[in-house]
Amino acid sequence: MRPDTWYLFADPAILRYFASGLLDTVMLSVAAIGVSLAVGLLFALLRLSTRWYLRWPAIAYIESIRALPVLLLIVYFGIKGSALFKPFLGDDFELSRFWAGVLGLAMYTSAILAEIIRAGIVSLPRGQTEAARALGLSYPKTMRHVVLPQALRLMVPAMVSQLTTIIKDTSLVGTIGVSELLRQGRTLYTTYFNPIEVFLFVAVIYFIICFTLSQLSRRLELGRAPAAIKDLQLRDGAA
Amino acid sequence: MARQRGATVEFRDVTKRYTDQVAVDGLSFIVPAGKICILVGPSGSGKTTSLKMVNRLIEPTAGAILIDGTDILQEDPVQLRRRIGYVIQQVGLFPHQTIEENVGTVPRLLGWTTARIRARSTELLEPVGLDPKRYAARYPAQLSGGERQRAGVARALAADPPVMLMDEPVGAVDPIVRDRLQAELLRIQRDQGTTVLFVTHDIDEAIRLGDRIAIMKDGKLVQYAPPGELLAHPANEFVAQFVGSDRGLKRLGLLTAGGADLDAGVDRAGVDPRAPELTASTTLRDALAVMLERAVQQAPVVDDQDGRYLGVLTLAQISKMLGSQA
Repeated sequence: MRPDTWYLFADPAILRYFASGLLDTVMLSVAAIGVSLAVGLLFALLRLSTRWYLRWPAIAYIESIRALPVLLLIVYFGIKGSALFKPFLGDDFELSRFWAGVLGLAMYTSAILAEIIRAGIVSLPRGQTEAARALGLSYPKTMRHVVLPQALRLMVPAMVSQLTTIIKDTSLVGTIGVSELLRQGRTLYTTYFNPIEVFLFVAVIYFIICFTLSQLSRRLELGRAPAAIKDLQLRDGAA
Repeated sequence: MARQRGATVEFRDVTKRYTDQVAVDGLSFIVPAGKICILVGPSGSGKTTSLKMVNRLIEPTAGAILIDGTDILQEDPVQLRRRIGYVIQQVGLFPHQTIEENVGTVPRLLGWTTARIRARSTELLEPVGLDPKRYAARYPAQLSGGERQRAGVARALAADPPVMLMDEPVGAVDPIVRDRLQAELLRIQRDQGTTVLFVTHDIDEAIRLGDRIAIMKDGKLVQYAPPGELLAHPANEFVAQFVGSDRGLKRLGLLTAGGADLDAGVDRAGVDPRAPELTASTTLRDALAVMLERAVQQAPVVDDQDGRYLGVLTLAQISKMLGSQA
């Protein structure tokens, strides 16, 4: 019979220990989400370009990266990251394990987001881009004022599901030694032999973060006239 | 509203070739400033392609398009488009913006102040029949099809464009709304003096709205003429068929009772009392309809303004005009 270890979760020291893990998880998530959104948008636009020399590299990046396991990318940057950047950033450069993790996560997610964003853009009726161009909006202005505000709203569900995936995938960064939430838990249960309790505790924290995020996204979706967009698209498509 | 002159639009031997087909083939015609030119033809005749070349949504393969004598290919497309209004069947209103924001798109690009943009959208919504107080803050989805089309026209007019391009702008609304929209388009066009290029596949619409009609087939211009001439002298069998076997009747729709050779010698009192009184602006087509309905041979015609008796119109005269090829 295993000794009951639930009392541990009332110990401030243990809670602080988990809090530091949670902080790493949140920081990893925020950094990876930020980088992958920017890179994803860039690759989505490149892939939609009419110029082959922009389009082809984007297709190559997206198709190859998303065919790889995230763990492989994380481990690769964990081991080879520093050596990879030394030629550009000098011999003293040392890629921290944290940023190696961010890089692995962001690389994979940017390829997925690029496809989500591209799908959102091409799903808009063609009349929208045409009307914007006919009004004399340049390409960047058409994107910024007309296409992206609509497309991003349509993408919210797919995007949020991918972003919650990032949060959960930060647990993989524990394998290269970053003390994120799950790794902290693992260290704890190898001391107290209480994996069930630890996993349950950690699972609840992941659930709270991800559930909150998806609820927030629902409010975003229900924000400014989303039904209006869908309605008009249906009519446009029928006309 | 500021009355301004439209611009002359000239197609000079314009050709658009795609790898496997010729969409527009050696198109040449001139639309005089302030006139409505209707491009009409079966689908695939190249009318929409021709229209889109004017604001360079499509680039011609060969030839030149001139607006007030200036080759548009020498201009920056973005600057060019801000001077050309564009209205399409799908309207293309931006669903995430209010009507006011939609109408203010171009003024915003031109860097106007918020107050000036607001004033301008108010000024534009009124003439298209949308009460700014009710509609400015609404989203496109909260409007009916006809109202959206009006908002689309208001947006196209925002920068006082000397040229307007319209691609089946009233194709997607029901017949009653369509009639009203057509009438309003005509009124706005006359008020603003804008040159309009208008694409449709509906020959009746073309006859009703056009100062000139360009009939296209397989990318080529088959005939370019005012509606009356088109109906009286179709250039070939294709045009005759396209305008329809009832082209005589359609032509009567363009002629008015006042324009007929009225017999002023007949005394007003001597006319059959069952005969309806016609005003001078009544079309011969309507006149014929009421005369047949009341089974009368002749009807008195009076002046629109002062009701002065002008003479009688007889069925024989209408018949003569129907038969005349002049």
